[in-house]
Amino acid sequence: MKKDEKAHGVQLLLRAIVRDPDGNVISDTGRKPSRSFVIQFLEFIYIMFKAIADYSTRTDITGAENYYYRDAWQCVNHLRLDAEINNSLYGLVVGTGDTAETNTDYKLETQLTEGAGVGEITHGAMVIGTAGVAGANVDLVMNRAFTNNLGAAIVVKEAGMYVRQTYSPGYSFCIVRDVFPGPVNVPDRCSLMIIYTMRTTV
Amino acid sequence: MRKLIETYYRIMKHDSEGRLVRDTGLMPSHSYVIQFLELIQGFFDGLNVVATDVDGAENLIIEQSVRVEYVGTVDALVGDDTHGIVVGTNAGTSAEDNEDYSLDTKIAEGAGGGQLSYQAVTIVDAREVGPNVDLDVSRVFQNDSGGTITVKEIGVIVKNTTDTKYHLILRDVVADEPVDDAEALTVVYVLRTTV
Repeated sequence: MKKDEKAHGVQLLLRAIVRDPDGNVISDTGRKPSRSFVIQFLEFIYIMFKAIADYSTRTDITGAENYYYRDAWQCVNHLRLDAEINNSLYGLVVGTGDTAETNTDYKLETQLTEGAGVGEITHGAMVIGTAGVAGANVDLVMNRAFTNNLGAAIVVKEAGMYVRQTYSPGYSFCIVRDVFPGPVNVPDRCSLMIIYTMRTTV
Repeated sequence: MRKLIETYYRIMKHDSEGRLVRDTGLMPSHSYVIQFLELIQGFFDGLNVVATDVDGAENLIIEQSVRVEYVGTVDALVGDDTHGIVVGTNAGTSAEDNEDYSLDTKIAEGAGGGQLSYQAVTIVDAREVGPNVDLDVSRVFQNDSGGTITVKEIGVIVKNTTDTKYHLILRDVVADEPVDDAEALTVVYVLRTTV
C-alpha cells in the first residue's frame, strides 16, 4: 500500500523566515505542513463547482454573513489574494493569537494590522507565483514580507490567508489559519517572510 | 500525517433492482492535475490564466472579465459528458501524471456499445462532518448498452469561459470496475479539510 502513504489531495506548506535589517537570516522554520484550511475555502469550491444562481453569502472576517460570490460579477471580483503594499485587509496575514485552529475559524485570533504602532506590522505586497511542475509535484507558491517598525519586538504566533471579494464595498474571508508550533520572534526593524506553498502530487 | 485538502473517491455499483452490489468505501485520490492549481492561481492573482484543455489545446481556464458563473463549474446535467465527473476505460493503460489534461479513454454518453448514460452531477455544500469539513460531488452512470463496460479511470472536468472550454482537474486510475448491462455505477468525490 505504498501509494496510499503518499499525499492525497492538496497539501499546504508554511514557512516563516526572519531577517535582520541587513538581510541576514535570524530564524527559519523551514517548510512545514500546514493543516488549517478552514471551511470558507471549500465553501468557495462548492459555489464555483455549482455555479450558484444569483449570490452566496458566507462568514467574513468580521463574523458577519456577506457577499462571497455573485454570479453576475466578474471573476476578477472573487477570491483575490494579491493585496498591495500596506494593505492588511487581505492576502497573507499574521497575528499574535495562539488559540488552536478550528474548522470554522473565520479570522485570525488577533491579527496584526497595517502600521507601525502597537498591534501593527508593515505589510509588503503579495507575491503569487505561477502554478508549475516542480520535481514530482505541482506547486503554487505565495509569499509576503512584513516589517516590524514598532520599536520593539513582535512575537508572531499565527498566520493565514484572507481572500477578498472586491466588488464595492468588498469583503474579506479567511480560508486558512495556522498557529505556529512555536512563537516567531521578529525583533524591531527586522522582517518576516511568510511563504505558503500549495502542492499537488499524483 | 493529515494533508490539507484530503481527497477521496468512492465507487458504488447497484444492480438492476437497485441493490448495492459493490462499494469500495473511501479511497485516497492522488491525482489533482496541474489545471486545478492554475485555476486557483487565476482567482488569487486576478489575472487571466491559460491552461491545457481536454483537447490538448491552450485555452483560458479563467478569464477575469467574464461572469464568475462561467468558470470552474462541474454541475453537468443529465446526458452531458463534457464536464463534471467523467469515467473512462483507460485503454492506453496510462498512469496518472501531474500534467494529464484528459482521461486516457473517456466513455461517451449514450446507450450504444461501450457507452454509459451520464446522470446529473450532484454537489453537496461544504459542511462539518464530525471533525472534518466535507464537500461531496457525485454522479451516477447507467449502463444501457446491452453489454459489460469496465471502468478503469475516473476524473473531474470543469467547464470554463463563455466560449465553452473544458479542463481536467482530477484523474484517478482505479481498480477495474465491470458494469454489467442494466447496472448503475456511482462515483463520489469527497474533498475534506481537517484542522
